[in-house]
Amino acid sequence: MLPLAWFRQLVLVIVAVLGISAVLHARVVQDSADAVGRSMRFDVSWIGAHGRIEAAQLEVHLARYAALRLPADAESAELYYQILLGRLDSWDVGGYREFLDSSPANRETFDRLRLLVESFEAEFSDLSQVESLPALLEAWRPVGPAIDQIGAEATTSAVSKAAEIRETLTERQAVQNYLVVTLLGAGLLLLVLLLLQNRSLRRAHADARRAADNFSYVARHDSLTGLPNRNAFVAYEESGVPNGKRLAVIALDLDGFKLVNDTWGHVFGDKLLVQVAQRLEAAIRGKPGALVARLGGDEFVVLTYPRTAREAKGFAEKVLADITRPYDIDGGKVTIGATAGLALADDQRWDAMTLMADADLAQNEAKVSKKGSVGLYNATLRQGVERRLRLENALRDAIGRGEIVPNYQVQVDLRSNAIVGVEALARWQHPELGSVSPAEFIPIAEASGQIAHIGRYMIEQACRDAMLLPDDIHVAVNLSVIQIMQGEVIETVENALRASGLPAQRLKLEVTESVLMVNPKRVIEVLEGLRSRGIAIALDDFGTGFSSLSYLSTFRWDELKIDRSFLQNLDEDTLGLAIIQAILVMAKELGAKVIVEGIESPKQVQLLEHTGCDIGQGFLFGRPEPIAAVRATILKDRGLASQPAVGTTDQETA
Amino acid sequence: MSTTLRAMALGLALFLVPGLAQAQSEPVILTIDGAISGGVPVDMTRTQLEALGSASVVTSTPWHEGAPQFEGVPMSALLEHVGATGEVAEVLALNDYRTTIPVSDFMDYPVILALKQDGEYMSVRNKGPLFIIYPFDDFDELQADIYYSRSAWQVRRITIK
Repeated sequence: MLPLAWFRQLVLVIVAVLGISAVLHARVVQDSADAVGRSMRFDVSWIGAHGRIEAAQLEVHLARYAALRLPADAESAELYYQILLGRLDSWDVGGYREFLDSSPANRETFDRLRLLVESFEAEFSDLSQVESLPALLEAWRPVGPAIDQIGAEATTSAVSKAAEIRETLTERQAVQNYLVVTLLGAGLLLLVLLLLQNRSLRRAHADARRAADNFSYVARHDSLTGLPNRNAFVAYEESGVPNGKRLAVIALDLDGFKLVNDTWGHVFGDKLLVQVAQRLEAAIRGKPGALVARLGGDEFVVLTYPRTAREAKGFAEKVLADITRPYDIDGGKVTIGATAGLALADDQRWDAMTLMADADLAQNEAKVSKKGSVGLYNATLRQGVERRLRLENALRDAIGRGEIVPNYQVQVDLRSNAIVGVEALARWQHPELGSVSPAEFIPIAEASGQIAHIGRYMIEQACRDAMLLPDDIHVAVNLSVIQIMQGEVIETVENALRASGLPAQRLKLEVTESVLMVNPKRVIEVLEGLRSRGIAIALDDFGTGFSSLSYLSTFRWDELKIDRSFLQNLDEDTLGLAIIQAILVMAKELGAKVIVEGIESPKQVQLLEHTGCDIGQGFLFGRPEPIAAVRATILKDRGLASQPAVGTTDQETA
Repeated sequence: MSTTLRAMALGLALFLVPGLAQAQSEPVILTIDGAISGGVPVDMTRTQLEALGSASVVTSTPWHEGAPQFEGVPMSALLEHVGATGEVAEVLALNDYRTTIPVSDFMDYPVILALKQDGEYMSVRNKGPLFIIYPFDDFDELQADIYYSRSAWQVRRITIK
């Protein structure tokens, strides 16, 4: 293909050549016409010849008159004399004179001839008066040769002039031929260029189409595995569900793929994904209408048409088994787990997109509840998600509307049975959904980042509320990992204490051991900071999670809260009691108090009495209550008359 | 040639014979014959020719300086006068010059049979007494050898064929 600029210039040049050739041609044709015109000018040799004939006629008549003396011959001779004079006159004008003037010799010859002819005027006015006709004839004789001479000269001149004109014409004709050839050539070249351009245009068109097709393929396929991608899946249109079959969508997600990538690198991870894709393609081979797509990362989706739910589940499990078999990558064997979610079409939900969302949901659920299994979609899952979404949206304004408030659960000294403190627990009273448990909304708040907001409010409100309680009652508030990592927690606590007037010694902050897993150094720094201000720090849910004993040595905990799970089967399970006893021994060494959560029965208290547990908390002693109620409970416990509750708002203004 | 001269000689002889009709006192300068009404050759004197009407043409020619004014009888009028029915006019001059003119020329162009040049009757020496003049200057296409050759001078006889 010619570069466009080149092509343009070439065409311009050719058009210019065409134009110039056409103009030149027109000019040459004009010149030729002029030459032809010149050649058509009155022929000098022609009138020259007539003069010669007239002179000869005169001579004939004169000779006849001299011989026969007939008056008619004399008249004829006299007439021819006049004619000849007229002839000579006509030679001295126009083209013939041009010829005469072209050479002095011609002019001289002509002038002599005229003088000679005119010298006989008297004789030819009346021949009958001439004395000697033979003498006149003799005297006349040079006239003929003189006319001949001029005539010959004229002929020569005419011939050479004609030759000149012919030559010019020939030249012009040659030039014309060249120009015509140039014109034709330029035209032909233009035609060729046009064809070339046409061809390159066609080619460009084809290229563009190929590029578009290619782009369309790239846009609809995963570049790594060659599987259809999310776009292709979204655009997939079922060609109709075969009779007696249902559309099923299986969402697949590899377990711990991130770990594979992090451990062995992305190149290795990519190789694994390619092999997974190959196994998935093999799995659907021979199943009409089935489709495998990679949605991104380690997420795949399989679309198939089973007859029954049972068949669908079976197929999903087979696929799962296929892709969890060991892989040979770079000479080593690798195994990766996977979890699947399955959604089947029914009367309400039948399109691939809805089913994919459902399968995804089932897969997420399975990932939480049972990794490596096939989770089956059901309506409850959907409802759960919807409720979660609704809570997440409602949470934004819940504090502003006063829906979230701290409730307090009492903590009791197991030896004296006296109430020694309360734990602030967030309680959400939703206007439509009713009471929402912290176990449900706290994870949502953590996921959506609103936990910091709620946490700060809880600390502030708990400090204010604590001022309504007796001086020796401490108040415990939970701190989330996010609050600690954001680093404002010390400032928040200080502000809350200052604003409420609560002594730092009455405030206790509880963290779970999971907090220490994220960034132990930073967390301990913050906790040390709080503790140095006189605030007690408790380790919550102790005994669950990783329970690394290193936490116990890296920080000076004021309290250890034994998780409620150890209490559940305390009646029969002697192991739980043994663990509690071990923790107590350890806590004593560390100088930390021990709180047992979840005490629900007097029997549990009885069992714990012998262990030497310090403090208990649970439904047996009291459920979480609003501040006014817990205040009443505490006062009653102390045998004091219930004072009229003082509103928190009054506290604020005080 | 000799026929012409003989006829002319005859004319001159008649002119010279005294006692002939007064009308014959003026010399015949043109004879028209051939395909004309009556079929008999028509002799014409200058006076008779001039009686047929007059037209003038101003034009240059290859044989004159400048552009003289020629005056004479329109050829179309002359042919009409004699009732010419032919296609061509064969013109014979005193010097035996012969030329053939299509009659259509006289319809297409105002061709005259000139008697005068610049107001003077033309002598034989000055290509008279009769000169077929085309309006060369008025029609470019007439400036060509073929018309120059038809423009005969010293005209003596016209034969319609």
